[in-house]
Amino acid sequence: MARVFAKLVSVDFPVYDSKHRSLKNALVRTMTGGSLSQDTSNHVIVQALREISFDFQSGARVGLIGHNGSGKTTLLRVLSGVYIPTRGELKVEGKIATMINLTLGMDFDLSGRENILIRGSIMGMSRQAIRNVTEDIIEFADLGDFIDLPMRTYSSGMSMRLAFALATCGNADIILMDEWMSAGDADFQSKAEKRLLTHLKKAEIVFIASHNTSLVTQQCNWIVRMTHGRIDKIEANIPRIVAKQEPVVNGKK
Amino acid sequence: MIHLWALLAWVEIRQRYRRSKIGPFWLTITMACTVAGIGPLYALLFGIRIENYLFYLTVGMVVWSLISGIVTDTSNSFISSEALLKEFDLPAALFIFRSIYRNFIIFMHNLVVVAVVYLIYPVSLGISLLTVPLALFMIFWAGVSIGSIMALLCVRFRDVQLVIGNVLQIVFFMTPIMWKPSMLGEKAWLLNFNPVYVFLQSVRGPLTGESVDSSLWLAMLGICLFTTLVASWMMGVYGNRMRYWL
Repeated sequence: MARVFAKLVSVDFPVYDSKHRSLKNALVRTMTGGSLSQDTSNHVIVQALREISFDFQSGARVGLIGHNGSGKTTLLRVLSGVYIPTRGELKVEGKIATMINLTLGMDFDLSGRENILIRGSIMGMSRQAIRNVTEDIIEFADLGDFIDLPMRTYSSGMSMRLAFALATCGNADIILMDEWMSAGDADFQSKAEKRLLTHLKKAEIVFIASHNTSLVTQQCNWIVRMTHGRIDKIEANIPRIVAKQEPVVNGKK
Repeated sequence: MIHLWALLAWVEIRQRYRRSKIGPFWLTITMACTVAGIGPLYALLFGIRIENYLFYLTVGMVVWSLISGIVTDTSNSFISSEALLKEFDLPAALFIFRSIYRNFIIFMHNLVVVAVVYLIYPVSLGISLLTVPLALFMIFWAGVSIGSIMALLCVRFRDVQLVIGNVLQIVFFMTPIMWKPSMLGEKAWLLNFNPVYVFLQSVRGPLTGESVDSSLWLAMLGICLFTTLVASWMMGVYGNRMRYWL
């Protein structure tokens, strides 16, 4: 059973200007002390997330909606374990997969096959697991013999398809997505959407951060509206949210 | 997952020498040129016969490039992996290991130069040669702990990297790499306060027939233990904040 539980999670970002990025200035500050330190140590702090609380369990399809800067991406990073909350309690039970930047870690001078190995390893897959899915990826991405050529020789569609096929082959309990993914031409898009939906269906909990309200209402059974790093009052006040048993996927029950 | 750092180190080396036929052996050639250029000149300046000097210089330069490479690369290892660190919950140590492993791969390539010089001007190698792997392990260990401290400092204070570059340049001249410890005469004991000398000498000594004092081993162990303590304290206190500083 996967579960994501957050209680009053807050994230504060220190914003250092060049002065606070300097060790020399820091040393001068500590040595001179007193009056000088008072006005220089007050660096700006951005409250990226403020008192986020929720409890999502298996079956939850959570859409995070909000403007730029409302904290969606920061929240995803907190859930993925990249950012440790400054305050509050976060419990994540289950294996997490992030689908944010699908080509991150890939090297376009290496072959597709080598990049599957690299990216797969970064995603936490074992060599054996990578070997098991490689053929499936090559077939789905329709790469043929190109798989052993450097990725710089690929068309943008080809590298997109490879990255997409790889991102949708693991088996995570919790999936974090930044915007809905679509890849390639119209022909491939329906094929990709089908694969993505099957992949998401396997996961127990899915978080999708998006600007697209209609898409989120279509795909998610929970909608979290965020402004200025807060979850909007109505939902933030629910102390414990129990997910529906049947997740709504693609509008069908 | 276990070998991800090795994989990433290999990718990084491939990246740097992309589309070049001999790849990282470019570094070997650079090293060979350096030694071939400096060797005869300094043998002349110091009035030492080249056959007594070139192998000493080569080993010194190769080990120095390992040590300075580790210091430079580890201090940059969090900054240069910003994107990965911000998207995946990968252990920070992985990036330190990658930087160190990369430099050991380069070191292996440079050993070719050592071997060639050895064939031209053979020296007698004794049983003490067996301690070289242990000395290299100590460099690795110190690299992990000092590298973690440096990497963390460099993320928070962006001017540290410049300082490290300058310090390394000075240390190169203050460490007996081009010159010999015996040239200091009775002031040679001063070298014991140079940590780079301690690590360098533990590798070079057995190869060039100089004895490695047991005090050197104790010093290395002391440095490793102390920096490990500092590094684990810093990682414990600031490790979680590091990604916010990127």
